Amino acid sequence: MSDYLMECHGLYKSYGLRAALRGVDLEVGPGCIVGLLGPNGSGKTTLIKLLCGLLQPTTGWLTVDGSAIGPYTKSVISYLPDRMYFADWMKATDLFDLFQDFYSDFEYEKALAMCQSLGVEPRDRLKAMSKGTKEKVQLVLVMARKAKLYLLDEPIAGVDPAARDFILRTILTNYNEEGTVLISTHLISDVEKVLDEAIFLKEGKIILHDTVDNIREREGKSVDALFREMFRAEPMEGGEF
Amino acid sequence: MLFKLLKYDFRAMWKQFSLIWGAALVLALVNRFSIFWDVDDHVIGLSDTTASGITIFAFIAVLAAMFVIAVIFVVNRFSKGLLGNEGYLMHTLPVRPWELVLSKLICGTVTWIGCGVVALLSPFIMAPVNWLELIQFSFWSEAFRGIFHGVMKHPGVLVLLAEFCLVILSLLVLFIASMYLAMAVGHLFSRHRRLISVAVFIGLYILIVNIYGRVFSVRFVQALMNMATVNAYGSMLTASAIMLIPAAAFLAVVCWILENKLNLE
Amino acid sequence: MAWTLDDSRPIWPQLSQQLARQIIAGVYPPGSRLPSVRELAAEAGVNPNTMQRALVQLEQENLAKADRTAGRLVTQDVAALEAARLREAEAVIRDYFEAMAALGYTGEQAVQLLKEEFQ
Repeated sequence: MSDYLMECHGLYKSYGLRAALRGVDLEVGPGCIVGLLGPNGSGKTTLIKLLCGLLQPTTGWLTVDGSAIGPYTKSVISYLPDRMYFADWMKATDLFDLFQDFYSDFEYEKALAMCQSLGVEPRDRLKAMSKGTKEKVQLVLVMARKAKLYLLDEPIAGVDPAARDFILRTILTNYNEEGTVLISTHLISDVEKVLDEAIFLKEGKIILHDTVDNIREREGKSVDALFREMFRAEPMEGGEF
Repeated sequence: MLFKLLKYDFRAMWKQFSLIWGAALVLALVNRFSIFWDVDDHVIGLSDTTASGITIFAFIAVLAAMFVIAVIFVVNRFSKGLLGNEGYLMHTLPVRPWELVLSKLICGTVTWIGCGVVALLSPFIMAPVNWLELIQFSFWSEAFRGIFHGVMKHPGVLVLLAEFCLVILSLLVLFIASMYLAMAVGHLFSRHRRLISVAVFIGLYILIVNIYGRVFSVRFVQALMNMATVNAYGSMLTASAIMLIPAAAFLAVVCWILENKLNLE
Repeated sequence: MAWTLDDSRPIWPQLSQQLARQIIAGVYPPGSRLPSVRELAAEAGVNPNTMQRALVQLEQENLAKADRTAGRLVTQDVAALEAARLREAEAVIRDYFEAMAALGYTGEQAVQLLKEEFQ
């Protein structure tokens, strides 16, 4: 039994000829908020999907809480994807019932309380909700669970700055302190105050994994500034922005 | 966990079909009284009005729609529910892929059986039978007594009936399993998924019909029948087995694909 | 309460300094209970571990004390509060002289301008 909550070793994932992850070794402990930072296409979503069990590695292995990916790890992982994943005809309370049925760590009362503070009427049908409200419902579903690992895939992309603060505050207020939150994003300046550790992912490889305080002390600049430096687009190489 | 999945699948089924089944049965009832009019207690005549034409048309339309929707329902529950956006939810639930597939399969089969039951009941509802007579207890008690005695004399009838149901069930399961396999194989590709799924399904259909035609020629079947039992019972059981074995193989491949080759976008 | 935080330096010293100023200013009176780590962290929009480090720093400066039942209490030690106030004042004064020097004023000129401004 390792001390780490999440471990990856020699993780490769390729889709046909395109390699999304090229040899990722990673250990993340419990009780911290980690940023998975990288530009679009760097492999962040792929890594998260591998942890969730939505993808299988080409080679290498990964474990969560000491177990291989399977029903147990799925029961302790709370995943927020970058898209809407539920049938429109349901009500928010129907979704809460579903989560309560399948996840023993789902806290119904907390979900209702979160709805109230986010201004969401849980008895409304999802069909009748605006896109922003639906996203809030999904956030409530994820954060109302007392999970060991929260995987948030781009929770603040495509959201206006005021809402970003709100979302980060909601995450901070509701996550399980004994658990770990992994936030994947390319909007680093918005999230860096919230992070314990930062992982820089470039073209499927980890080029940096350190605590945020170490980075600030050592480099004398913010994580965002360091990121921009390390990921500066090289026009001649046809780099991605 | 399987029961929990079934709960949600059946709820979706009921949401979709309670209305249609209700409409079909109600229209059947309406047709009973619009097509035939009761002259008196014992004579029922055929009415000839445009109203009856409309109700008949409506009924047939609803029935046709019901079957079409049933097929679309089974296909969509799998393709959207497990391979589409909803798959993000389904595959992160703490369940194994075979539980997801089995739940969809059971629900799909029950849906088609339900449609079949409604289609079978309708003619009885529409039948030119005097309903006043029907409501009387004596009619039913006599009917049951007759059936009971008939069954007692030939108990094999019940077994035959059960086996017949099993054969129909196996047929449905094989059909649905083929559709699931076609969709799962289509999912392996990144482009033209629908086209490939349809092609695979047609391929499977041809495969099953041809192989069965060749392998299970009459003599082979008779040999099997002699091995199993000497009468009709055995043949129906073998027929069921013949259909369920490839169905099980198809479903195993589907589960393997979902477990190892899933790639939701 | 607006928290101004500079990302290019470690955050926890900035947090503890701002909390110290709030205590000195009386936002959290002596003997009162500080909000929990989570509440403060959520309010400031920072990681709870970072806020925890800042609060430990406050304890080391004797501005707050961990109480087993009540969480953290602001100190009632007047001497410690005065010492903290003085520390902050010295920081402000240092900043003033640095800024004036950057503008090209000598120390004496800076003091002179200060006296004139005060009258």
